[in-house]
Amino acid sequence: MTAQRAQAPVAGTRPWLDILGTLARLGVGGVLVAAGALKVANLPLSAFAVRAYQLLPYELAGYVGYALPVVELLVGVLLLAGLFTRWAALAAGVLMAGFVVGIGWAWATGLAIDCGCFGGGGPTEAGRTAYPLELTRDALLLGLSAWLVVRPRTAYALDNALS
Amino acid sequence: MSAPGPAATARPDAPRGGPSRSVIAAVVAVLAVVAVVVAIVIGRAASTSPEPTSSAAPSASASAQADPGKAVPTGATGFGGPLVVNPGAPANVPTLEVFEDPQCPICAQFEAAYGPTIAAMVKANQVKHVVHTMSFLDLNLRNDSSNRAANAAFCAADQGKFVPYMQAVYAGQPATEGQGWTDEQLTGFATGVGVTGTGLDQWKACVAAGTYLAHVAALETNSEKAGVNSTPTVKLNGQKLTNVTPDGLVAAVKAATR
Repeated sequence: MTAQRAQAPVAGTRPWLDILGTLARLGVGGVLVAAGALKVANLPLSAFAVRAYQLLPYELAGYVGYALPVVELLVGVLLLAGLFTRWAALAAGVLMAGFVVGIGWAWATGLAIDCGCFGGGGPTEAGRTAYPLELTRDALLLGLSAWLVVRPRTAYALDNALS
Repeated sequence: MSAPGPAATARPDAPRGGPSRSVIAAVVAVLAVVAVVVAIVIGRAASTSPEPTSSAAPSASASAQADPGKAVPTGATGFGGPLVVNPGAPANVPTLEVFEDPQCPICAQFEAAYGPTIAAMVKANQVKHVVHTMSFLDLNLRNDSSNRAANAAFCAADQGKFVPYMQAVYAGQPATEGQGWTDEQLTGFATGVGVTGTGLDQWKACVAAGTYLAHVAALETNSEKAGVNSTPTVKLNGQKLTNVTPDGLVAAVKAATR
């Protein structure tokens, strides 16, 4: 998958790309752990935040809200540790894509909600939404996750210690 | 087997006899499933209690543990239904629905700006005024004041004082959103709007028992299911109203009158 170039000392290795990948991994992992940790202590609020998007049926939205903080924490920890990086990055990318769709939908249909990304959430007083900022952040994280799926090789990763 | 990159893997190679990737992957997968299931169980349990996690504001109503059943306050359309301020309104007038949370500061501003206009229209039988008291801010603010204030307001409804009580609640919002109200403050609102004597005793018993807490929770659920996602929200005959002045509201009501 990695291109073989004449300049690389060993075919397939690019140390500086590994470092960049590490930064991407730590960035996405760090954000996910923070988001999950802030939400996991108030699961009813997390459920409420997901319901406010009105994208899913009431009950299902609740389940997604309960499960999301735990999933974020797990994926985030895997990324921070550099364990199963490609799969964790894929999961992170799916999450980010979901958030981009959800927030974009809320914006397009005129909902006024707090995205609930870092706790909080649900209806908000109109005029306090921050959709462009939230979309940009999640799109950026989606891009970093996609990079890691394509090139999961990073420095200081548990993956490198496993056979 | 992947060779460590020259930029260094700080960790030594795992022992050859150590756990393989597949074993670790299986453990992670099982952990993930267990964690999700536990989270859903805990989340559901935490959500079904009518009394949310308790607040910084001390609550003396320890008997909120009592099971309130499915009591419906005077004037509500049913369990979990909104409160109709003037059920005797004529059939040809439009229905004005207001969705508010007691702790919502902009709701207080709304009430101050539009309350007198709405009250005047109600008095003149020009509109049917329906109030959906929401309580989601308890989750955001991590207290139980919206639920308790709503319950207290419904207890006041039994004494015929729902609207004045809610006005007192909005006028008495704390300086910092999230401080909520003490039981003493909620009682002060009641006496301040003229709930006295046996009525006050009944009100106090109603509040202490948390009689309408289940109703408040059901009303919140129904409001969410009705798609209300911002407070205050005002609907005239089911259509959301935005950016109206009090005069504009009067005009809209007039236009909607058959």
